[in-house]
Amino acid sequence: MTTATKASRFSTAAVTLVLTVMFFTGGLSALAQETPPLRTEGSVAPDTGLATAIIDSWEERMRGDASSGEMEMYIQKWNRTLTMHFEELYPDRSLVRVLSPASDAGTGSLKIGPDLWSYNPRIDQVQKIPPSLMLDGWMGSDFTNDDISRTSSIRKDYDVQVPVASSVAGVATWRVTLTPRPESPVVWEKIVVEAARDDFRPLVQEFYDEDMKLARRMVFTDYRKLDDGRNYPFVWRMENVQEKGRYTEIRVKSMEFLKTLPESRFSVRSLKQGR
Amino acid sequence: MLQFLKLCWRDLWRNRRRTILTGLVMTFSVTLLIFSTAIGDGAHEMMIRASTESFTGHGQIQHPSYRDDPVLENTIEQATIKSVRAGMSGVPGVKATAPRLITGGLATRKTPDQADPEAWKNMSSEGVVLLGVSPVDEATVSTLATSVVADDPKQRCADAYTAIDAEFGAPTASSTRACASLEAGFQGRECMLAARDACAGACTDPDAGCTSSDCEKRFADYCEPARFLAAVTPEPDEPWKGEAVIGTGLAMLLGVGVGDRLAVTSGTARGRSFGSIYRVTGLLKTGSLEINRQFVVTQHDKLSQGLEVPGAATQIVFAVDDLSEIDDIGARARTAVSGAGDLSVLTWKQITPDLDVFIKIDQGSMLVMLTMMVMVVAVLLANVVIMAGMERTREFGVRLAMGESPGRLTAGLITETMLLALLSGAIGAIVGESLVIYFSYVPIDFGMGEMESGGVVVNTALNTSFRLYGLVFSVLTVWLLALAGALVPAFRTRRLKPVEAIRFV
Repeated sequence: MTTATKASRFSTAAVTLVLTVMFFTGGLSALAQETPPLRTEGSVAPDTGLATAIIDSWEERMRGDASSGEMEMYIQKWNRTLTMHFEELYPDRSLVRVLSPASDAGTGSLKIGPDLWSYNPRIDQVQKIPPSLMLDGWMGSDFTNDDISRTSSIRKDYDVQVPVASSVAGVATWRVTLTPRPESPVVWEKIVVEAARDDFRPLVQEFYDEDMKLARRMVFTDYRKLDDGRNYPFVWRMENVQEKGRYTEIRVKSMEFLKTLPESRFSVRSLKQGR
Repeated sequence: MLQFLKLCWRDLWRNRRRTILTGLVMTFSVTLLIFSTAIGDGAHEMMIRASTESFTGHGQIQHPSYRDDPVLENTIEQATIKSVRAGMSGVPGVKATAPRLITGGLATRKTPDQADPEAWKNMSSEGVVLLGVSPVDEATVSTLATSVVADDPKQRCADAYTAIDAEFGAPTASSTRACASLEAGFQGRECMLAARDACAGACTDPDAGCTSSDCEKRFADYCEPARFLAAVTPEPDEPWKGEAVIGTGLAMLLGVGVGDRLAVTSGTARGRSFGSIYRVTGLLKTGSLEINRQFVVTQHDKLSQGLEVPGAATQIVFAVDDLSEIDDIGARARTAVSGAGDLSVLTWKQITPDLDVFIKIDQGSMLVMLTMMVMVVAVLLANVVIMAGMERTREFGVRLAMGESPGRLTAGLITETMLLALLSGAIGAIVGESLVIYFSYVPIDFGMGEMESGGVVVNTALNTSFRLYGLVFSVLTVWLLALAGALVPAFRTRRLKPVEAIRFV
């Protein structure tokens, strides 16, 4: 029972959405409940318990009950920067609206459960993204619609492997490999995460395609302390490895975890009306 | 010499029945060979036409990187298109060219506000191929423009009432009656009057921001029968609204009919989002299921503006006069456009290599069939010609006994056969080609209707097509076989002893 409830709590939206989606959407399995308490001396043994602890720690870092804030998205391919406002109600509702540039202002994206809609103010039309376009770029970026809308958990779809000691830019890390379970409907054949050994903060995430070739790489930097004491990454950079030099960077401008947001806020009506 | 030929000719007709029988076999052989080559070539040409003319065209000119990376950056610019088309118009064998712009998009029926969240959850949107064409040019290279299906005026009428009811809250009580009593079709004055009636009660609330004339205008969208895109682009300065024809399958998936509006969003060449609203002017039903399920076809000039590549094209399609010369024409086109920049010229063989391979395999198996047919004809001819010679052994004996030289006998026999083969060949050619020409207009229908093969709908009615090589091959084969057959009795006469020959029965 607790597993199920917890499972449905993890999901994504907006900024956190991207992260969570990719990292830890989803539930704690039986394994998770056997996990030793985080950051306890001596618990850092090289077994899957450690890997589970790392993934779960991220989840706690990135999620809350609700959140809202502003972010910039720089898309290198088009050399464009979009400013967006986002609101998120966990587990699976989010609303994103473009504030600038003027030509795109009002464009929005709404997620409720597994469904994703977009709104184009110029033609005043809401469109639901069909499954066939899930791998297309979200708002022209290197993030896909699938990244944004996926609510199933990384822990539900992937098995964790024993972490390996590694390092990223001089920071000692644990390198955790996740492999999909046989029946999981996932895009990536392998996901690798590098988390700092001291506090398990995520630094790098790598996505491997069906040929086991590195396809995308996400780098988290600019960790800052939020009001509630969280150490939160303010810059996420998604690199498209297959097209050299191409990336999309999300820079969080402001970020606040809230107690709650009204559910009614996440509706097609508010997507159209704007705020 | 002439004397000799005359003699041979008279010889031939001494036994009329034998000569006519032999001649008939030769005639039949020529006809058979001509017809079987023509039917094979006809089937192949039909297949190529069915596959290319519905959309891909006989050939295309593209940006060299487009095939590997089909994005808007890899398009041909407006200035280049001009010089390419000018260059192509001078290439012998090229009939016409047409520019096209292709991109992907997301299409939805244009919907007014819906209060019910379930309606949004269940709304259907489809990934589509957004194709910009220049309507006049397109008609010269493909059958897209003639693939618009005739619409049902009663359906269009009912759709008009449904649409204004949803958008303007106009009363629709009279719609069933109004649409049922339609006679001449739903257009012109009749439709305008219906619009006035239907919109009389619309937009009575002044705060709603609409007027009954808005409603009438919207209703009038349904007042035109199905057609392809207008030759002259309406409102060229407003790329975000226009007309479109869409595939029948797509129309069904989206719940869209003639007169309805379609919302399509797409990414521009600069990464912006481009949304547009199209009035659906017609539905396309082509031989390609892909087109029927995925295509939204609209005006090229507007689409290219909206996608921030004004005037640019993804491909310049060309049509040729004679498909059998496609390789040569492709080579000539390559030379003609080489001055316009780095472009790749592709013939249908490169665009649809599967079809090319399939046809090559089929040609191989037809060659085997033809070889077998030639063998049958050979046996038939040899039998007839040799037997005709054998039958005359007694006659030859008498002629030898009377002092005619064996050489003259041999020459006479061969000449006679050749004369006959010439005459029969001519008749056979006339009969065979008449059949070919007849069946090229009246297809041989196997009555199986249309069959889909590799994404292309193929009609099972077979057309023949005239080929000079088929004629030459057939006549020559029969001639050579007849000659070979005649050689046997001709040389036998050289060893003939008059006394024995005279006794031969």
